[in-house]
Amino acid sequence: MVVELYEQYVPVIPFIIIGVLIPAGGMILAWLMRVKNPYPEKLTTYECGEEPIGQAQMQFDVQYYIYALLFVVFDVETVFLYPWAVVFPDIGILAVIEMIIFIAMLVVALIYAWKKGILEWMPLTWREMVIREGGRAR
Amino acid sequence: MRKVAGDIIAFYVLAFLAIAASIMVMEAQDIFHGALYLALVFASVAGLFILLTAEFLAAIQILVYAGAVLVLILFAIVFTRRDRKGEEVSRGHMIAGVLLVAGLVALLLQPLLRVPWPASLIEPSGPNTYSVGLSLFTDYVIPFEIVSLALLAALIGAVYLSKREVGS
Repeated sequence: MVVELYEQYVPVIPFIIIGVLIPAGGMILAWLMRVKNPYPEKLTTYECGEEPIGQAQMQFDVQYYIYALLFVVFDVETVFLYPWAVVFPDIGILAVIEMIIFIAMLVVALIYAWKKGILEWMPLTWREMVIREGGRAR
Repeated sequence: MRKVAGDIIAFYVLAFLAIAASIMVMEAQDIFHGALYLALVFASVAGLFILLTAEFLAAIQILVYAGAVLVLILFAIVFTRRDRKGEEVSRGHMIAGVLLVAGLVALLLQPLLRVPWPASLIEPSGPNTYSVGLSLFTDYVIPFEIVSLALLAALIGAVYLSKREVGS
């Protein structure tokens, strides 16, 4: 009997169900068992005793975006490593050379980004911070 | 008989998840939640790829779309200002959106209408990650190496753009 490919993925189903049940079950159980006595003090955002200022969904520094972009590039590179790893025993040394060229090209990209100072964190000046908070710089 | 039922049930569950999550992407009050629903859409589509025995495509779907593209979208959301929430959509935008969607639907209907239904199944020639790898590293080596150049160009472009952002 031919085993269809998707049948190999049947074990994934209980895995997903358990993965959903653990957090959901934990929250439902806690909701059933806990004492419900909310008062204003208790409903404040937990911030180590400090009153939080502003919204949690603030605007983050755009500098993080370059890390996201770098991540995407190297993520796509990883995609090509999968089929490479599978066929590598049958193609041998040629595949190794091909992959070294491929990775070398991306190492060039990484060195370029590094040399351009992209990986350095640029702290905001005081003026920029004031503007970001919605105030006016002096 | 049992086998057939199994994959049909899986298809309907995944298709339902994909469609329901797509609707939630648009209906979510918070755009950040919308982006998280998009992750569910990507994951369900990956499941559909597995049902089509396109295992490698499913892995890419998870890795690149649910992983990288979604991270980009989430990052883009947290980097933009949130105080423009609840802005009215202008009539011009509405018309442009309708036209765009109509065009996309027309484009997608083309292949759907050309296929004689029910479509015949194409049997995969072997384990498909292996087949992809084999043709990628023997017949299509040059395109494969060009991909690395494209990635290099993408990265240099990103560096160039963000550099100007920081410098200004």
